[in-house]
Amino acid sequence: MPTKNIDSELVRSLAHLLDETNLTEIEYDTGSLRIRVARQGVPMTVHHAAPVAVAAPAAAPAAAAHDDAANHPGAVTSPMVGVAYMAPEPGAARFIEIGAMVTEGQTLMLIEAMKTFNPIRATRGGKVTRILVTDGQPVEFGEPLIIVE
Amino acid sequence: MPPLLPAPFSLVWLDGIDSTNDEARRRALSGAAADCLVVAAAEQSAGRGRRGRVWVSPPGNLHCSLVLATGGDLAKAAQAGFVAAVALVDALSGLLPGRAFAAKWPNDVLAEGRKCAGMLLEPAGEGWLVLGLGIDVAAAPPPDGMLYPATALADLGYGGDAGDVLAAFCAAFVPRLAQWRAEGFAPVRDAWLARARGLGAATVVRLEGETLTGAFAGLDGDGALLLDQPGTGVRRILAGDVFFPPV
Repeated sequence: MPTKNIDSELVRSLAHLLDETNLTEIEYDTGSLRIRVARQGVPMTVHHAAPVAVAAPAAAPAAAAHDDAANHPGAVTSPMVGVAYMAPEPGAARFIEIGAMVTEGQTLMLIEAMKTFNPIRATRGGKVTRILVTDGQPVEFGEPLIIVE
Repeated sequence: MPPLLPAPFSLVWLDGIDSTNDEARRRALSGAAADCLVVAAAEQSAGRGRRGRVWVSPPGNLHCSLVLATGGDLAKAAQAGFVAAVALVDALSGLLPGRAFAAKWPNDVLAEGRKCAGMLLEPAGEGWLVLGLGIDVAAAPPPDGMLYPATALADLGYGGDAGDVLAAFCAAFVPRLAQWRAEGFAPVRDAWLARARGLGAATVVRLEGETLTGAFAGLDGDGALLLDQPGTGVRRILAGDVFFPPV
């Protein structure tokens, strides 16, 4: 879809909604069109088209590294909002370190939300090249956590 | 004694097990579980709490895990703890009229201000949630090393057994579960807030690396605790241990 056909009204209302709800990110998907509006300087993008350089309202300095990671084919993303834990319990050995070889299904970290503990597992085998979150850090739905290559 | 549970619950009652959550997960992963299966054990040898803590599991208390179908939506799975906490407050209030029961974030239940029940939720595979529920029916754990003061239902004059408590909980849970699945989290959130201890009051939240103080301002649409901190605004808490400072 060419850039000139972008529904600017739609993007504008999504940006307003972002402000109104105080969310960090809204994704709108009709099947053929996907628009993601995000804060923290993550550029607003229209997929299947060139990225549009429109900053979301109240944008903070760019967090381009995270945005790249989200699109990485080896990215493991969070299935829920929560708090990330790198070890099964405080003081225990971490599940993984950078450089570790992991197998599909291996537990990489835990995400806790409201006492629901969700093990994050490797979706494929490979080497852990990046760990994008720290122990105890809050994470959002869809946020990249780890890169396995 | 194994109780009779209302439909759609089915019950596996064991004399002893490592952890009912582990057994429920094994059954879910092996295909031997249906929605609303309850695995209960008279004793647990490896009962677990939050972040590797031990759940003291003596005979006479209720240790059980519910297997719930999630349809694969993990983001909503955590809401089940609030559904269960609302049902448990109502069930216990029915068993011990005249005693005050309240919900403590995220899914503990307090009896006369002391903890008498806790939950631990874990997904099992793609489509199942295991909701572990421990209730101090006969005996509270020894106070040494306890994070929060505890009590048992027997200490408050309850004469029934763990099976009676499970049956009462399930009876209260059936309509709440149906409502949650049909209408979503909003009515659950309202019901939970109506039973919550400390709404609007000073609250301490201990996180993994820091301790926060503020006023308990409510729940957001995911069930996160909203803590209003003087000067810094409202902070959304997704995990932590909640305490109420003495007034």
